[in-house]
Amino acid sequence: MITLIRYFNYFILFYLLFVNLVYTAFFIVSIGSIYISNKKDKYWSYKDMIELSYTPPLSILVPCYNEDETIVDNVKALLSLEYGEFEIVIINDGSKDNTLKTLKEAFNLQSIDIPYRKQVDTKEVKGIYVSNQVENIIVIDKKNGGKADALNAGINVCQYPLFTAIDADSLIEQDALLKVVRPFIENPSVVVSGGTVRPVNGSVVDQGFIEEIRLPKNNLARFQVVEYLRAFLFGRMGWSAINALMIVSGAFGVFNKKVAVDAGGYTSDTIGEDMELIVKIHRIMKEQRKKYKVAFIPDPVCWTQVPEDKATLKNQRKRWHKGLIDTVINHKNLIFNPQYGVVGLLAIPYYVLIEMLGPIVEIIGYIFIPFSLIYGVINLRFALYFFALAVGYGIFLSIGAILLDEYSYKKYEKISEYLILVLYSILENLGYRQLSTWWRFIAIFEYKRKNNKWGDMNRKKFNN
Amino acid sequence: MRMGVPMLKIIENYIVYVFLVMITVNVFLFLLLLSKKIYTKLSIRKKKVIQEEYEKSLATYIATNEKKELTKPFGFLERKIFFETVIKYSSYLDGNSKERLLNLLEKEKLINYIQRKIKSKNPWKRKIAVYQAGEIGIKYVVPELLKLLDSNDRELVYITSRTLIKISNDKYLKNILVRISKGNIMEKPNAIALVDMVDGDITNILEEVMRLDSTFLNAIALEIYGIRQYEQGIKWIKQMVYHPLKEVRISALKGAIGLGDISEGEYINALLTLSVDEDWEVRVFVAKLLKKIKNAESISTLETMIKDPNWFVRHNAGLALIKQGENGLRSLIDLLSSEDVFARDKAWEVLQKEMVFHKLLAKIDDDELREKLMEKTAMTQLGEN
Repeated sequence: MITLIRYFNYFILFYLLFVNLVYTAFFIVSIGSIYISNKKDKYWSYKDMIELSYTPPLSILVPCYNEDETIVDNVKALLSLEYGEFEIVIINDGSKDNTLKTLKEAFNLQSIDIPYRKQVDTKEVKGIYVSNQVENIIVIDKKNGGKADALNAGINVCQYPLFTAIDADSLIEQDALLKVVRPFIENPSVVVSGGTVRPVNGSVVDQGFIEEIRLPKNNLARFQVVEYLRAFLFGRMGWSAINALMIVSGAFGVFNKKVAVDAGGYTSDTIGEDMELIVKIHRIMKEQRKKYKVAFIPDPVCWTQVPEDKATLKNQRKRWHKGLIDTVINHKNLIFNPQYGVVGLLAIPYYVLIEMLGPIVEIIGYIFIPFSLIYGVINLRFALYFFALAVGYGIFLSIGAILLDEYSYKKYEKISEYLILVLYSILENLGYRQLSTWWRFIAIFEYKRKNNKWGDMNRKKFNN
Repeated sequence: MRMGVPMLKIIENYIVYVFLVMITVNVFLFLLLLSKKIYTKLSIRKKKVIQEEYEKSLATYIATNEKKELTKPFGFLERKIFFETVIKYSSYLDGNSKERLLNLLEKEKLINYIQRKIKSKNPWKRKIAVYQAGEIGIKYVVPELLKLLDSNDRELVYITSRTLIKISNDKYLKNILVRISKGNIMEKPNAIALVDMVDGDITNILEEVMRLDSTFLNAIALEIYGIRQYEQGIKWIKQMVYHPLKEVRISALKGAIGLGDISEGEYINALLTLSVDEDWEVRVFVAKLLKKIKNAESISTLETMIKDPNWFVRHNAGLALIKQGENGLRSLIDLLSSEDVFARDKAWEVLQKEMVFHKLLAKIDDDELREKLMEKTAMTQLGEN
């Protein structure tokens, strides 16, 4: 027993060392990437992008399920985005509330029979509507089939070569589309481009526009602000730098439609449809030996509502983790497979060993601490030092992300807001992180294949 | 059995050491963040006041061209903000205005600064300086820019070309075009966007480009003929519709789309030969072209194309038919009874959209045609109530 505990403790020690080395590498790569991204903004004319003919037209897909409170404001905000030519395709995925009725009234929708190419299979489309007020709005009413199925219906009906999927509870900044489409113009091998997502809770929003960016007042939402900063400012930046980005957030990503269709569109029988599509794209591009790039731009920001209560957050985190497991199982033959380059050799193993199995290691680690103390394998002082080091490193990563944000984007204006962020980056190590790990741990045991329901999220009207 | 006591001690010492380092680093990062935030907060407040003042005076200057509206920036921060403001509004300023503003910014110093940055080894500083030179129109850097045009850095070549055009208009356009035809340094849409920035008549340059043995440049020139509606392009379009490369045939069609309805039999016939092209991408552009050329031949071609095996061709043929006026409408109404399911559906979709968006029924002058449409579609004025 003691030998087992001892070896497990060594394992934990080296595991933590390995994980921290990976994160440190991301941090360093991200500093470089953000520096380049900031410099690029100084010699790129977004005005040219609006005025000149080379900006590709874009379809904005807005899947919605029971979104009658926010959908109209959201669509109105989308209509005022700075972009040359675009259409908005709203997909009502069998909502049980008044989403369709609200849309019909707000935009004076007319039913219309449009023959479209069914390039990806979806649940039955009950009707297609166009607005006789706004020519670039199209609404698809379909039987409920989950978010991925809704997005696939949007892919079938949309007409432009690029599409972006934007959650109905999210708001994107005025120039965000221009910024996120820029990689497609710079580099013809770009097939997907993603931007940063940040929590909108607490900010002042008026009719779909962010009037003032503020930190959330809710504690859980504040922890998530720190988490999102860390995940986007160096997790995704780091992977993008080596073209092994595995997730482009479902809330905000632009795709080359042809490549997405070739990859089979969104997978309907998974809950992690965003990650699944990106992995499928990596996979087919590698298999077809095509040159490609999955880009990430830290500056364009999509603001989204994050859960403010424990139950919703728990569901969300469990869903995300189950989605990750789904994708890993679907693409298990990529793991350590040199045919898939850095994706097979680094990215997928990282997601398996650190993201997917991390909660198991961490929880067992917590369980082993009392045993280690009881059997005298370690002493209390050692345990405390070890925990303090883990916490200290977590704080370092969070403050690093906050610092990167302050150097580059300065989204939060007040000094007090940054102080609060630092405080929450310390506090998150003392309960929140463990709770989140516990939810992900449970998700592993609750995991069932082919579960694709929409997540239950208590949507709120934006604060005015 | 303990976890090897000496080993545990060694690890513990390391952990303590790393922990102390971590604490120090975290405190340092926190202080850095705090001081940065305080500095940013103060400087933003100060900057905002200066910026508002310059934006206001620059806007008045742009509107009235009165130099007295501008006050000379004296401090470092003021000069920096003034410079940024000029860059921001540069597209609203002509060459003379920029020159006057440069003088306010101590021209010599600024030129030296930009020249130094253009020669910098840091690629980002170089690109920023090249961009700024273009925005404020510094002619003195042209020799350096011409050297940079030979770079293999795609971004740098694009920005340099853009700056050269902004500074010298078409003077170095040929140099730019020759450079971008080599080594896959620029995508066609970006190259077209660059050429499109040139002011004035460039038919002579396009003529020269069409004589060059470069399909890439030929394709660009063909599309520019269309964008700028130069009828001198007709002879080249007629010639290029028979080019073996589909990309060039498509560019010829894009050029023709830009030129619009040119009533020259031989030219139209040459373009219509592409309606049976082996590549569907080419046929799509023929359908798009026929939105612009309104005659009986276009309608009969579109009636065939709406039954094309390719979806995009059929889709565009349907959209083109409605642009053919009442004859096209008649054709679409007849297609509602077609045996071809897609042709029928497409006709139905196009007619419905026209009713919803453009009040089709109200626009039809021919009573018989209106009745026929209402009878065939079995509906009243959809979207017009």
